[in-house]
Amino acid sequence: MATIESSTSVAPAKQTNAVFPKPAGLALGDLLVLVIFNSLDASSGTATSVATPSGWTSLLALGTTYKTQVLHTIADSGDVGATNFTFPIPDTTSVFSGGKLFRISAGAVISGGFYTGIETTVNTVAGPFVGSLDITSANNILFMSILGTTGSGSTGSTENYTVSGSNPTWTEQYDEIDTSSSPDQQFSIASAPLATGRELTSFQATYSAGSWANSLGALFYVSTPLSATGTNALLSVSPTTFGNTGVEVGGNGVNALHQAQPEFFSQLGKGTSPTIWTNEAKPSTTWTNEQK
Amino acid sequence: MASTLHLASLKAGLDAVLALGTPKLVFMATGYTPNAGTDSYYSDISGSVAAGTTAVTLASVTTTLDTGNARVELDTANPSLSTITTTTNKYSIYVDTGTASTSPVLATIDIAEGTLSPVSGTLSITVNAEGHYALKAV
Repeated sequence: MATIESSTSVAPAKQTNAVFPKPAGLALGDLLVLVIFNSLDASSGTATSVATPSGWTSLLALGTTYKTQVLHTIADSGDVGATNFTFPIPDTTSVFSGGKLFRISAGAVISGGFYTGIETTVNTVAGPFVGSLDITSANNILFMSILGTTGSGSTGSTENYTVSGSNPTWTEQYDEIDTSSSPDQQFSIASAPLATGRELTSFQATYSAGSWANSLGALFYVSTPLSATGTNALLSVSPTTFGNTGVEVGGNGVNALHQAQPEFFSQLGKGTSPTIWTNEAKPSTTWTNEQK
Repeated sequence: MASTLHLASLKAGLDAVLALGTPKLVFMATGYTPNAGTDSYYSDISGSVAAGTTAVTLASVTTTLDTGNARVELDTANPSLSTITTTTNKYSIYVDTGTASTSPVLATIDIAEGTLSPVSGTLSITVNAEGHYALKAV
């Protein structure tokens, strides 16, 4: 479960740099989340954004005259060894800045989902800001930031943080009013655990005193990576043997009479008769030898 | 007298297949149904790999003669993927020859716990003490 381990704050002021002390116990791999507000003294012009330092990621930058920014990074060895985290404020003559730096347990991630709203009517309620934030992960921390500037009244605090549906239990992390500027400004941040993901379609907060105009609201979340480990049952493959018929050799066998059917081929016969010669009778003569 | 295959030859055959390339494990989508006849090479199953995952090169790949059980077992170190968001319920083991169409698939094995759905987390398998699968002689 992602948890806010520690945090440090900078109160609203005109300052060259917003310097946040390193949150207690910062360790390698921790998630650092900065919520910083800038607002103009004299309510005109453009509040210049705080630059995103190297290694940090800007999640959101809301507003123009008044601005809410969320930056984050995963703590490396340089962050762990640092004493402070310094964010230069571009315009120090007319800009009030302040905010909070959170250290969240290692492994937590910012998925990038958020939605924001700007309200320009004078109201005792910041919002409701209507939109959609579809959270699919479990074990989340919701963050709500509210920036309000006022036309009348400037005391009290922000309270009654609410999201659509079942409202989780909110813990206010930062609630500062600056009355040295004109107009007065109120910055507030609250967090709440959201065990099961769901879609959020509106959020709001109320001002305990006074009417505030130009409210900026931002809703975002941090989730805990969900790991899964499985096992396997051994897949055992057995052979199939095929029966073979044996041939016995050398024993007394019985043979079936093998009869071969002859095939007779037609033969052309030819017969000749020899000439029978008859010897003529030969007379018999008695020869008497003459005297020599 | 019982017919039997002989373990040494079973092991030799399995070793020869494993030596064709790099043994790897890939997690499969829940909708994948393995076909022993047609799913012969990695090219036949690559389209059914669980979204968001990559193949894991298997370490400590061993084939062992288990004479007591008359079988040859295939075992590896536990495979894992980190920072993964996916859904899977089975995995396939294949030998990567460098060419998907010649990389033989050896087995597809169900994950005993069923469907796992890590979110930006670690997906791992604690391999059964006996291994992934065994070829029996009898």
